[in-house]
Amino acid sequence: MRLARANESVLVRVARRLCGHDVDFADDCVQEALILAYKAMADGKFTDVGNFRPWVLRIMTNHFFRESGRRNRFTTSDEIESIIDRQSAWDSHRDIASVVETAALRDEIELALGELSEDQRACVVLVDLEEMEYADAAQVLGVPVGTVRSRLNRARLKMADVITRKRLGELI
Amino acid sequence: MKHKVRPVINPCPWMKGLLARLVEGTLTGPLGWYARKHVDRCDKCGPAYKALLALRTGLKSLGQGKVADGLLSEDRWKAIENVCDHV
Repeated sequence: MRLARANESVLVRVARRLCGHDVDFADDCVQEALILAYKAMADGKFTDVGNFRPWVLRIMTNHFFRESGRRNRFTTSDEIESIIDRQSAWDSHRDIASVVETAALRDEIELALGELSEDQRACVVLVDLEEMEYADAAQVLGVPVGTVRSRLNRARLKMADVITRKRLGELI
Repeated sequence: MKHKVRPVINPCPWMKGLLARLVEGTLTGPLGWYARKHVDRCDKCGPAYKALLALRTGLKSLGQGKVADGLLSEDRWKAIENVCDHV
């Protein structure tokens, strides 16, 4: 339980980024991952305590992929809302242009994240938002580094395309 | 049937990997020189490079903002501990 508690905030943060607004779904993923991890450790199937974090993150993301395929419940990123809420207070001391810019950024990234496949979104969350190294993200996702790199390249191009389209007014 | 929309951001196929590395700042040497020259002159890769740079900046600022740290509710911890007690 000590290991679980020590990794709780990282797991919750990644899960909520993956699941968007659906906090319950995110917390379900974390809960399930911790239970599965505990069972595996109790059975002696996992002993490398030093690698607990990437291992449990992998269990959690696998659970997310499985369940989200069934539920297809991604809406928008809760994280973005909370960041913008916090930023808005700070922005009140800045000029109106930056407030508008911040809101636009939120909308654009929210829209673009929603256009990605789950595989691509996981790469963006782990590498671009969580700032993991490619190798660590690859370990979490259980794929080669090259796959993370190519998924990320495709994801970023797609996001850039969605944002540019929005700016050109093609989606409105 | 959902029809495929032609992408607005559509760099030259051989430039996709180079653009990614250029935006990350990890492309150096002759390849970096070539990529920068190409981006300066290409109608497709120039806008793609600018859009990817803007995206990187946006994602970075969101990442640095981090999410308000969430924790599991005590009810969930009790549920986890209950299951684990019976393993």
